Amino acid sequence: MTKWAMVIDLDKCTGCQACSTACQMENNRLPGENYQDVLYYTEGTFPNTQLKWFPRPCMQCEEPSCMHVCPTKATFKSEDGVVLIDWNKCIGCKYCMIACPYGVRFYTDEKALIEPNIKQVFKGSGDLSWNPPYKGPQQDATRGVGIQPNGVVSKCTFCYHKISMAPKGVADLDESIPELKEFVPACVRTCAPKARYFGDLDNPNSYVNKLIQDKSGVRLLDHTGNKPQVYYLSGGGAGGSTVPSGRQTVNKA
Amino acid sequence: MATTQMQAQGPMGTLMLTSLGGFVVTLGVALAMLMSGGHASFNTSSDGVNWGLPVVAYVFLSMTSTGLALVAALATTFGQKEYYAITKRCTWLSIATLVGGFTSLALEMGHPFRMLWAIPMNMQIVSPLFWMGVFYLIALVLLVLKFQKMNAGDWDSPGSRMIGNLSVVAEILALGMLGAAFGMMAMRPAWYGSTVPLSFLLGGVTAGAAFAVLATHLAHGTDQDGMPEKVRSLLQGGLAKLFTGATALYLAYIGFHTLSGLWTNADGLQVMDRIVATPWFWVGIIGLVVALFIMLSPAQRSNGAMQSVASLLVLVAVFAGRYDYIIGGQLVPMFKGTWVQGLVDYAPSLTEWMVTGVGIFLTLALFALGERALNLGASPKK
Amino acid sequence: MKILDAKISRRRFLQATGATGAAGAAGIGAGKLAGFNALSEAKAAAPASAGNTVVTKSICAQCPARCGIDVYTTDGRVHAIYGNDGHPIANGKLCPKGHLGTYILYDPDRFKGPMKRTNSAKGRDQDPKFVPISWDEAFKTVADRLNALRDKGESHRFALLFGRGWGASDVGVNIVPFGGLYGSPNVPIGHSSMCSDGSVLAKQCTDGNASYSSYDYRNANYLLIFGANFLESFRPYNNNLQVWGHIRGEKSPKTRVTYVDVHMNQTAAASDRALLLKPGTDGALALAIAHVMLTEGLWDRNFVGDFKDGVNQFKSGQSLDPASFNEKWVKGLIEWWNIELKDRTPKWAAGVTTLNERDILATAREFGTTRPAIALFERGAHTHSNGVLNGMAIHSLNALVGSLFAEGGLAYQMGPAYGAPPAKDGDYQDDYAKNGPWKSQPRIDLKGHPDGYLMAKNMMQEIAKNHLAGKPYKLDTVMFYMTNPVFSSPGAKDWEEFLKQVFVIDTSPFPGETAVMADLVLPDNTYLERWQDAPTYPFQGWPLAQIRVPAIKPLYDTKTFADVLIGIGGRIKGPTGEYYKKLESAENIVRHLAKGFEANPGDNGVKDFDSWVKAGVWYKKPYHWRQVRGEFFEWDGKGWNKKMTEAEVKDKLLKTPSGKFEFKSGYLEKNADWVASKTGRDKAKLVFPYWEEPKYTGGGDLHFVTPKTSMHAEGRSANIPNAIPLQHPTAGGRKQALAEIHPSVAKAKGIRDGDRIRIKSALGEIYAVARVTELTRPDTVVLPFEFGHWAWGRWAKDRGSHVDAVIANQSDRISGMASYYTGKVSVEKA
Repeated sequence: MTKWAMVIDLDKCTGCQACSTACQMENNRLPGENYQDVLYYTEGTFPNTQLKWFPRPCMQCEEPSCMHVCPTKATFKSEDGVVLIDWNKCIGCKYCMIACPYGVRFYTDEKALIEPNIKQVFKGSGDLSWNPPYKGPQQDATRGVGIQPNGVVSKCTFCYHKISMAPKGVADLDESIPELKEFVPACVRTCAPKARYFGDLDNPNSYVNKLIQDKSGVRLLDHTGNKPQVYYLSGGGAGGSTVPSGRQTVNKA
Repeated sequence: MATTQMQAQGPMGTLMLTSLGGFVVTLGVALAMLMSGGHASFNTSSDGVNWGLPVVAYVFLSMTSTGLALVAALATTFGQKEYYAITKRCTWLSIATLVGGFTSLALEMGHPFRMLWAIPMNMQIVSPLFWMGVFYLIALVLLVLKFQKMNAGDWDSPGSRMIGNLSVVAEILALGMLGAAFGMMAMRPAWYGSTVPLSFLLGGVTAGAAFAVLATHLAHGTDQDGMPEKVRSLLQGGLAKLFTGATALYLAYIGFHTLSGLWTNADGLQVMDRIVATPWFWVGIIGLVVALFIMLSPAQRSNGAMQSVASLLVLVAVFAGRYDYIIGGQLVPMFKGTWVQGLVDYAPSLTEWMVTGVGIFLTLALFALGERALNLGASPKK
Repeated sequence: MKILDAKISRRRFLQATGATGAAGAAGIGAGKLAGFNALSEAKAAAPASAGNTVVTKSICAQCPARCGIDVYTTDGRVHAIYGNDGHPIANGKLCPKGHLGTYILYDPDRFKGPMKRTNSAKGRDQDPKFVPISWDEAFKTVADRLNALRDKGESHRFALLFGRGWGASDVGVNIVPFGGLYGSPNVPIGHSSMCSDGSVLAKQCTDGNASYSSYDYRNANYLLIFGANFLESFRPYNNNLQVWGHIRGEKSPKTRVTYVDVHMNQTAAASDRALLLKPGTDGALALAIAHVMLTEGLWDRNFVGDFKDGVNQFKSGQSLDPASFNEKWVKGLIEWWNIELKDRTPKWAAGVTTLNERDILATAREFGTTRPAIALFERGAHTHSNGVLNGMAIHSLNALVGSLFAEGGLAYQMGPAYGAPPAKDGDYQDDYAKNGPWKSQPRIDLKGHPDGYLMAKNMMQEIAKNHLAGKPYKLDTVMFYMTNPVFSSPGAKDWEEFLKQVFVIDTSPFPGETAVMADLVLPDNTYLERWQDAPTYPFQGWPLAQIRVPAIKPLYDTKTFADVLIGIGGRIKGPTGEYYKKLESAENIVRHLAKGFEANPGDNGVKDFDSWVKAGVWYKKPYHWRQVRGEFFEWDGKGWNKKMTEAEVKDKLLKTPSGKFEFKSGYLEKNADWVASKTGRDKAKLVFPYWEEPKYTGGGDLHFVTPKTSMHAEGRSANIPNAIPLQHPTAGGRKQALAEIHPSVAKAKGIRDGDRIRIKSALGEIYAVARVTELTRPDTVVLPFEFGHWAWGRWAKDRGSHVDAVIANQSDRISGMASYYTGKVSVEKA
């Protein structure tokens, strides 16, 4: 089976937010509500101020708490390992937003961050809560792809409309290979410092597996047991000092 | 088996008018706001508080419903016959609070009608909300059946008793599941804990007992001397003890909960500092203390007016407690970086207050309607 | 937007609806469809599920880098933009701005066609009462005005101001010949003095190249960056980010980076060392680094030369005999040491910059011992009264480590092998053009004039002031292309007065401040709707040229600026008209340019117009020159094998009077009298990079720095709702940029985080929202520019703070660079 995963090398990430703008362009996101965010943190005191940032897409967990809490199975895990939402089943209870440890889910009907509300400028109808002239051609409510209807929750799909079209059996969706670039998630494709990698965790030959091994990939909040399929690299070096992914050594059966 | 006819002497007419009026007004405003602005008229947001005041109202009313069902069951299930004096009323109120709670929840959800088919069609059995829904549905059906039986004078036939027993089990399971829906959220440490369902049940019993006290006074007036003997002795005896005991336990729970939140440095619990700095929190605490003081003072606890005040204070406190717990658990931003500075700022919007009002006024209106049309004061003759 | 509420013709309406889909029919009867609203708000048709997606090659327009882009159009809707993976700058990647193109194209506030003003009263709050006109009428109106001026011998009173000028032809037509044919010294006037001329002049003064540099970052092992925000704004931004990923995450050894700025930003955070110094003191730091490199013997002897006896004699505070040193490719090192450098110790610099002496010393030692090394700088270092001096001091470090024209160093950019344009302007000059009275008129901005800025390249910021004073004269008609100085110039208020007095022609597709003051609006196409070429911005030296192919037919009745200029030019009397008729169109020009590729096919096989359109870019590696260990070589087709003579180096690379890198600037020496008279500088010293206190303006107690952030899409972001929340992420400005204020300042002034504050200078006051943060210095307020528009579209208008309203119009006398970052302000709770 394919298990798509993303690896983000924090040593290379420049915090430029191109991932976020590519995401909002590709997925027609509303202002300030990107499926993918770069988060900034300030610590210390001047002149020893530390500025840090952290790029954060949906973690596409192996054990997604958002999926388990969904009373209607609207949130589900696709065969190739992506957490998707069926908007036709979503009842808008928002429990998945509550249960997501990473804050990567969005409810359609909220106050606009930026006024005038762009939804009122480019009004939608029927199943489209808004309809901008730059809307992409993809629209698949059963997988939460495209523009949201009212009253549902949406999230990062790993650009499912792209990756699901990839040739079967590919180990990595590498944007530098011209034949594959159209199947690469927008944030990965555009990442200028190439801090992002996308590939198949179930394929032992994938580069993402190699990177996780060589640079001791860690997962965010691993103690929640959600087992993200997004891995972070930092500090470099095999077996070097790194953040342990949990307090227990787990042997795979 | 005949039933005792008992005319209500409390301000039920006023309650009927105000609750119906309140229901119509809040529903009208809420619907108007929701039609024009959708849930954008809520102050909830993906960046901060996902579940706002209407969910607090739902949880409060559901808790109260379970508590009322338990009070009713004291007679029907646990054999405390003196409680028969308020069993029918409490059963009806348990239904009313549940309907009120579900109404405010429905107005909070994106697609409440879709829920009706999407939940049973998909059978997501690992979701606590699924089981909560299942158990509340069962509870509602059984409570209605039980009420029907009582209304028809069948108080404790084996069938009636079985229905009553099952409805209590369903109510406990439902509220437990609702508590678990919060308590299972390991990613929200301010909510997390295996004993959360227990605390919900404790809050439910407290609110249920309080509402039973309040409703009885509303139905019969605050002059306990003018009440039927069975009702008066219950109000001054078992129910007062139950109410006082539950309130004391609940105060202890809130105190220790707050204390451990303030003491610990664990991520997510820093919100407790914010909570204790809000007036809501102290309204709740002081309300509980005053209510306890009233109920522990022999001079005052037999005074109907004072009992009513105490029960009202406790209801407000339980509501405030649920607000602090549910909203507080969402105030630490979930990976928002500089986008959200410090803790999330949240205050319910007008629409959210209206939706909350819909739930509460609907409950009260159903109470008043029931009191008028369904003879809630009835009890087995023997 | 009430003030620009213009009617629209039925024809234009239909055209517009055809473009954006089925418009609501309600609008037609209303008869109040405006130039600004209603149309694009009409509901767009739902896209077909299986549409035909077309990918068009174009060039991004959100910064000067000119990344090649792939524009995705499905069923007539542009919905995605990605980097062109065959483009050497983009490499399939984009920066955050690159993805904003669709919002710009479908901006609901765009002008829908040409319009003229019917309200003769002008001002911020005046509704221009625009009415739609035909393009024919528009061209005729302008041409009649220009012809009349020419008939009176006053053609110099027409000025054409442009912003994003990308070389000769990259507005789609070479606009320079218009001035020479029509007869105005003021056609065109570029914006470079408000952009980055400080570095251009610093380089001209030292190595003789009046240009930005090309950089070979990928092979450098050390980067010392002064005020060039590599990871937020420095160009080519997209490629910088790619470079960063390579040098910090892939390259062995990892390149070390020291970054110098005035507040903590992404580049500072990502570097190995952040030096957060007092604004305007970058030169002092550079001088101290040079001082340490000399005293510790860390200079590159192959390039710089050495003491005759081979023993390092540089000792702090001690003068030397110039004859004791053999200079190789540099001039004036010992003189520079004696007059300036010998006293510029790290301890001294620590006092000036507020940095720690320890950190200055460590930086100097690292920079001096890690080769190849590059010292680069941009606006942060040079938008001060001492800007060129700072720049010269920093650039001198490149000479000291021998990185000029070296692998892993810096060089300059070659131009593309273009074909001849359709017409040669020299063939179309009439007598007026050759000898008319305009020939004796100075430029309105007094650029190149002893009374103004003799050595500057442009002085756009002086135009309003000079016009209002009538010195040298008053303008009659002013046309704007991609520039909006009434908003963006320091002392922007003067421009409002100026624009009231002249006939204003705006060509922006967006309802900006200039348009509010305009008499005529001739809206440009947005970049995804037009033909255009662009030679590269200085990149890696080897020539490169990209092409912009329309991804979609213009949505509205707008015209590419090149075609507007051709339309007007064609109506100018005499041979000028013939010249422009011959040019025909922007597309025709691009076709002619492509003919040059036939003889010089690119590395990617581009050899004509069609292959250029298909690939989007032509380029030809390598850069032809290289300095290796103090020797210069030229490419002979196989390698850098041809050793260059000193004369060849002077002619092609080090274009100074001496043919060397000049610590003692020959260019300044030539103008020393003028510089001394205008600046009061010591004539003996002013030819060297030396320390001069910047002249802070504004009179407050806090420095006021207004950086460009990564989301600044050439000014357009302010009206892109999707860009606004990402504009100032480090401080969390979600609805506008925030004023970064140090907690000590906040405490002293009683300001709390999130408070509205007043920022005051001698010029006036603006309001901002405070972010109390440790990101910035205790003596500095940082407030990124972008917002504060009083026009510019529904999302931009009245959002945020107009920083240039409180920044004085002061310029570096040598470069003419506007001193944007030299203002001082005071803050208080509003």
